[in-house]
Amino acid sequence: MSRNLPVFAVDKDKLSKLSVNFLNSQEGMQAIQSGQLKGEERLYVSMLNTPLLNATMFLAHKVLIRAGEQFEQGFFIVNGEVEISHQNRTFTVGPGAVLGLSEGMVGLPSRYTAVAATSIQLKIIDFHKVDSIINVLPAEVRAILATIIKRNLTP
Amino acid sequence: MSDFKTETFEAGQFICKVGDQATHLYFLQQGTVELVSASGDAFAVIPEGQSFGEAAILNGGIRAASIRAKTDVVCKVIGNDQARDLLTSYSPLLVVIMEGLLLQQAMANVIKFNT
Repeated sequence: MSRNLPVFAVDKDKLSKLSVNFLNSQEGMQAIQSGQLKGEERLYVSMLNTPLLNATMFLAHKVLIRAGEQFEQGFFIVNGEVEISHQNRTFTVGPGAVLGLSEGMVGLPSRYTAVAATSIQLKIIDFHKVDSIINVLPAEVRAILATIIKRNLTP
Repeated sequence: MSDFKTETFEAGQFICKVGDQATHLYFLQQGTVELVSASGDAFAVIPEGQSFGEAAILNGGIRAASIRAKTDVVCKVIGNDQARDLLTSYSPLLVVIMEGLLLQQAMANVIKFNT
């Protein structure tokens, strides 16, 4: 059965060759400033290389998030595709997709169901680790995080 | 908190322009600002109490839109290096979380326009 092309995915074959050192190098800065490296590509490389998130793999058909349910983890998709079902729409996202982070940080149930459409590699963001940090942040930083979360949750 | 400096802008004044390097991020303490496209059209308003320019966290990111004070504005401002240092001082994981939120925002924007 054929799948639709992902509506959102970075070119992981191109990006997996890049390191965080590249991002911080003169060459990397020039790539970003010239537009050769887009913002989401830079973020993908940075998150791909962080040692702070646990990596795991799931086989196709694994349900990551179920609509209406709360969950304890957000997901950063490193490789593979995930099918998102939201109301009566279904679409696919690929490497670079971040699922559930904004919802989970404010304790909202998911508005969509996310199921692995292929086997996937991903990194896990545990909310209990996040909560303990957020509580001690200065008001301005909390406001910045809240602004981004609010934008992400606006349909 | 001392890493944030206070800056004021008069109504109509540009705070940054499309194509500029994203060197600072802003928390809007008083007033409202508007996002202006490269063609000069205002297409969104950011109200008091919200932030803008978070792409500065990306070190070397480029502004995708101009930002103009719609009223007289008071902002708390922090440079990208200071912002990273501030986040890291609380926890290196905080930088990762911010990156994840921005990546989720990029994804959400693409989905809004394509589905």
